[in-house]
Amino acid sequence: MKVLEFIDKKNIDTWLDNVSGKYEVFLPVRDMENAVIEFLNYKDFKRTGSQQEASGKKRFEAEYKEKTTMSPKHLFFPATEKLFDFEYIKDIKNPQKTGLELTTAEKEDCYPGKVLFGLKPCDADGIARLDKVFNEGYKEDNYYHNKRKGSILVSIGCKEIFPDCFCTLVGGNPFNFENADIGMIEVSHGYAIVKISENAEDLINFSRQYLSKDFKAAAIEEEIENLVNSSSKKIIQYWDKTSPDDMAAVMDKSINTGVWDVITSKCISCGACTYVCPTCFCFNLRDEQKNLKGQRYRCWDYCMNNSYTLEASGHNPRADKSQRYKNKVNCKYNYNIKRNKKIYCVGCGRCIEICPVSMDIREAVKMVITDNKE
Amino acid sequence: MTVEDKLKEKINEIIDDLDLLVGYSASELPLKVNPVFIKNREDVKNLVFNKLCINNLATYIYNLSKKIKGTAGIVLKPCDASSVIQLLSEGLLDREKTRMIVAGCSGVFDYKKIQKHLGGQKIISLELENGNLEVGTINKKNTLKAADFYADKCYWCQIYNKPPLYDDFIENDQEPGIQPADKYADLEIIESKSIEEIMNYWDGQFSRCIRCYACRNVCPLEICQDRCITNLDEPYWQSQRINTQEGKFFQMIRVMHLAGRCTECGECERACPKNIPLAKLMKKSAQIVERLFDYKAGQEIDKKPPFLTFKDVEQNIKEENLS
Amino acid sequence: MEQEKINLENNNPYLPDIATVKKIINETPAIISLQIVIDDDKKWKNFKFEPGQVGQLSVFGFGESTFVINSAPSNREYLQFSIMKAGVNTTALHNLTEGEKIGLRAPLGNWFPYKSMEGKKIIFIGGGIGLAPLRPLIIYMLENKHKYDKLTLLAAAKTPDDFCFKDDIKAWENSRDIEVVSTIDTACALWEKETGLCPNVLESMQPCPENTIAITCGPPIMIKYTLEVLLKLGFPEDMIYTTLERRMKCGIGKCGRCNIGEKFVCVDGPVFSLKELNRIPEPFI
Repeated sequence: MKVLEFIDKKNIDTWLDNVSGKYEVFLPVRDMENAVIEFLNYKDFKRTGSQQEASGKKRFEAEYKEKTTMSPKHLFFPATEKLFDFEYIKDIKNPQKTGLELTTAEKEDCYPGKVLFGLKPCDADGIARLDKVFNEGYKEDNYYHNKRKGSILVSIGCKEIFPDCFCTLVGGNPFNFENADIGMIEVSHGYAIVKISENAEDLINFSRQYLSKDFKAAAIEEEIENLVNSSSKKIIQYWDKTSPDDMAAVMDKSINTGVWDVITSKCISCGACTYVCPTCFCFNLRDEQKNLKGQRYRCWDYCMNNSYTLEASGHNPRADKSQRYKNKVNCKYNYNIKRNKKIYCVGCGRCIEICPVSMDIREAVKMVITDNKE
Repeated sequence: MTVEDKLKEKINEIIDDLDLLVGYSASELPLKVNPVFIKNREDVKNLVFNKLCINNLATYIYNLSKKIKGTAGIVLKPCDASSVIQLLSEGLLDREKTRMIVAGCSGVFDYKKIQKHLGGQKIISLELENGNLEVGTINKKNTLKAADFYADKCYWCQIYNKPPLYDDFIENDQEPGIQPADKYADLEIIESKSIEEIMNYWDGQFSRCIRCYACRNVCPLEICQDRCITNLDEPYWQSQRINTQEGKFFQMIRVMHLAGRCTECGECERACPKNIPLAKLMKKSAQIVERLFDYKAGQEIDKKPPFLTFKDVEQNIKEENLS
Repeated sequence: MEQEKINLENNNPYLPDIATVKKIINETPAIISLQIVIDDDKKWKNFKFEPGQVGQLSVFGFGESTFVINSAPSNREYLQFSIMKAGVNTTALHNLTEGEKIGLRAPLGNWFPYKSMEGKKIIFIGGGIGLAPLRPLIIYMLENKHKYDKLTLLAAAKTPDDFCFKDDIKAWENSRDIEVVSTIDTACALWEKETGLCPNVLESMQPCPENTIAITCGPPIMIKYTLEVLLKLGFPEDMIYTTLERRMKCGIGKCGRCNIGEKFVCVDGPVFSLKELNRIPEPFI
């Protein structure tokens, strides 16, 4: 990988400080007391930071090595989002006549856009997959698009590989910057910038003064090469690399076999895995009304929920949790390959880490592959 | 012979009488074990029973008993047995169809506690050596005193080697060696604060809630999952919005729902992906129920749970003077 | 399939158009038909749909549900939807009175490939409210009868009261352009037509599969057995069509819940040929 720019470690904070004056910057922050890592607005982080210093107790710190507890999808696709307000209008003089008014508050809220700093390459892959769902297809989703428009994804390559990481098994790798706007790699005394997309040129030009001019590109490039080689090797090979199409074919063969009952026996059918997933995009629409006014909102929904497909007639095409889990895995490893040409799993391993009963999607896929061979 | 070996021996004896057995098996991830469902003798060798077996397998027994015709065997720690006892005392389980295989326990480690102690760092490896935990995080080995990192419930457990009810009991020679601690110390700290401070504390905690319902679904006593009010359009009692207020509201319903039933296994808090300290709420409700009704859930099979019955006069509840 | 994307006029796909209920017809004790008109004159003038397409009806405060537009595509006076009382929103729709406002997002989904059916014999098999999706197509084909060979309708219901569109059925019975067979599940007094479950009656009718297209809609269990009978009678998979329903929310292929395998019922359906459905490994019933 060719080093295009270089930023010294000690410059990162002042750089972010400056960028946050122009852009809305988000960065992964660890809450040490509650042991969660979340994307936080840089300004909020700064504010709590100065409060911390005053109280002498440090509770939050930026965390670029570990994965956030939740994927960053909520920055573009919030957990709850108002779609529009509605209001019934009564005419006192003519009670027979009721009017109805709808108003959307949706505005293009993001000049000049969000900067997501410190994403993992898999996080950016996840966002690219959501883009396909919301921005392409039958219709563009304006609510998503307005938040996503103009945002800049800054990924940092993964030197650390965790036991639940498996990006290389689903077509990614720890230094894959394909879906990022800026790709950065931590080397001995700073971060080497190895990718700058057209989207990010403005940001880079704006940041010129924080970038180092004298860096030894050749030496850094050699260091990067070693990192890239060693990182991928640490990932456990649950299955041999397959193309998405082959994966879909394998999944198709096992759709009506009993393997799913075995895989799901320990699943408790909660929604934790779908809510932390960077590619899960399902939602529900609901109305709420008080007196004559109300709103329709959408909120995340999870396919492991019994009532997810329950029809008003009482008919439920996926009444059993094994059917639901089968649908969930197939959605990622089969249906979305057919729809969007990509495995809708980026191998971040969040679902594996948070599952209270140790469900492991790698195990599930592996069992399907073995089931196929038998 | 370790308790694990003895357990396997016992299961080998009885496996043919069972339709299915729920036990623990090793996981590839550090600090975790797998709940596993086995039918065949050859799978018994894969079972484990150790200090990482924090899961309460009683979670599965209710649904399992609906599914199978014969007997379901279930590997339990003595504290987990309380959950089964509670289900039995509420008439939700068939005693004949439930085989409680209780293994003596010497305490289980709480990985979230370890993680919190390390400032939330991700744990990559774990080994137990000479009473110390060797915990690997990024580029670092941390040596921790094992005795400090048992699950909360282990510090006030009194039944580790004397389960209240069982079909098979496997003695554990290993003494837990855990210093008992004051169960209510953490509640006292919270309760010493002003109402505003307490509300702020819980608002802060529930601001993280994503309403995934892992707490509800992992609970061995919450058998209403598919019919939960949060899933229903009619009655539309709770909004599906994901925010602090709704998370808190849902949890209040959950706590009320489990008052006098919760056996304080702590699974809800363990399951929470956002580390909300739910066990504190459960502990408080259990404390109130004990004070008012002199009842502890999951202790005796024949004692009627307070909310399944009523008395004309409750001795510990003073009715308001209406005159 | 003859498919082309129709764009809604406004660019917020979640924002319904406001429409007024013009007339409410009681079809059966549990089913009503609503005739509605979009308030915005320009939108209403330009509104076009194809037989088989669906719309999302909102009663604000209760929610949104999907129904097939069952008025004729040539009808420029109103759009008709038939609603069976089942859940919260359908109950709210039943409680509407004439003149009230509702929300409409339409047209959504695909439609019956009526052009490729030209020159063929058609047999419609509709059970209960399952007749609704077939109605716009039947009317279209009757209006363009010269393009189609023989038309047959097998209408089934639990009891004589449970037939939707009784006036239509009566008119079609008197028409020379379509043959109508009606059946009820179990015999009852004053009923002189067929008796028996829809698939059994279909089997006894012995329709000849040659150059014939079968189109069926009804409750899942009826569809299942009807498809079995059609295959037994020798209908090829690509000559059998059905329209499916799933719990739907967004109607534009985003919210994810109405999938059958890789297909979303809301955008890839609701009309499917059995050939397409059998290509999806996940069972559709």
